Amino acid sequence: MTLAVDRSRFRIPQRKAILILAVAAGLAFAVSTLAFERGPYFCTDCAVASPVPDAKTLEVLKNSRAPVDYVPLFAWATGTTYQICNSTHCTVYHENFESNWVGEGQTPREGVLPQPIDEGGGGVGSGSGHGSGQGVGRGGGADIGGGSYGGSGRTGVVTVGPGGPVPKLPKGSQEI
Amino acid sequence: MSPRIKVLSVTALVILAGAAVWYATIASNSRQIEAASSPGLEGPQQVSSGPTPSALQPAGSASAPGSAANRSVRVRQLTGRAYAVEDFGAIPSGTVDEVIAKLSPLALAGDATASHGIFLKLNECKDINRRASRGGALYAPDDVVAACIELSAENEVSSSRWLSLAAEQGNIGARLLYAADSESALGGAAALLRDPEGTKEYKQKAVGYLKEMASQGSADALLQLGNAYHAGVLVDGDLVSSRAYFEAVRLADPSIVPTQQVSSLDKALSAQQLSQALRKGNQIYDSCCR
Repeated sequence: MTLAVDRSRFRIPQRKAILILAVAAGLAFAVSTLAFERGPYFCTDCAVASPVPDAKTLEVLKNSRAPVDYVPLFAWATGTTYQICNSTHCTVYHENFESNWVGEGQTPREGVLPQPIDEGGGGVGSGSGHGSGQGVGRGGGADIGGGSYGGSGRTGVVTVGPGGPVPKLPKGSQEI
Repeated sequence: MSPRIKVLSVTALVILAGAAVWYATIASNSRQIEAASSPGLEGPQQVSSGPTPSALQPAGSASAPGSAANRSVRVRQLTGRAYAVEDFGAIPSGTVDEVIAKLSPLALAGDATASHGIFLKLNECKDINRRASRGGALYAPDDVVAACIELSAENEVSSSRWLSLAAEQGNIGARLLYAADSESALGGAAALLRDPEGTKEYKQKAVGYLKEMASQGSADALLQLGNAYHAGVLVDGDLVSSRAYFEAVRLADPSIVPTQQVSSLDKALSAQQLSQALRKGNQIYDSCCR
């Protein structure tokens, strides 16, 4: 027995078809105007070279792509960028018409460099502080005690904190 | 089917499409975490502490990593003769005018590093001006920024000529970028359209550079060739050749192969094509890198 298919059941009214097409076109246009800025992706052994990405960075770039960016020329058409960072620098990459990734210049990472310990010696007040060992934690009561009052009398030894200035890379430096 | 069911079906489809788009744009964030925690990416840096490239590479060719044209290039030795560039050389310090004045006599006398340095400086200016127009942070000293903003259009346009010169003189970074970015090499899409003969010449030159470098063991050039045959813009698309070049890279160092691109190629090829590609990849590796 053959079942006849009533094709008219699958027909969409013209007005609705136009509406769906318009919505789809609008959606496509909206997506095409979006410039996705993806990342930062962290890779400790990438050189994040610019303008040509080094092999390791290229691998991270290619393997970090969002599924939609696998659509040929999608990333190029939308101006999607990927930011890849190593421990000191970041580089923003964009895909070009040849499906290659090109860096838009390195920028130094800010506020992430670990502060060196026991280096420098440039701190203020090296040596013993006022109050010579009296103060909190030494059984001498509260900050009021034998000696001076306040912060400087907390311990006998003043530990010089993070010595010296944070070694920021010179601005504009391109070395990794 | 009642109109209500039709509308509901369409709505469900739109929601599904929306969810797919959302997933596609969000999924990369989860990969970001994976990339950060991947042992392959977090391991100790594989910086070459071995022999210098000049000792390993034949220094006969102008584009070999140990040649004078590449004295500022730092490479990492892979297996056999294969190498990958780690550092293409720093952007020269100073303002763009100072750099051009200082390096152009050297560049014109044949110094590829100087030609590439001028290009990098002009390219830096392009980046600075782009960031300035977006209102972003510039990360450069004030005098460098001021010089870039005042840079004449003529000088800005000349960056592609310096890149071409550096590539001709044998600088690896210049050659890779020349082949990777027609905009940097020719000065934009308009140049491509204006001069079809020049475009043809550009393609031949770019592929020539890549093949020469690949034959000397450059993993970056092998990767670019793999990509070029996959994309089909610089050369006619050929998935077997593309997979073959990626296979040669894998033999040189599996950690730098774009795994997702390779797996998509594997899916696109038939078993016979794949075996042909693997054979060809072995041949490429044998001739360039073993």
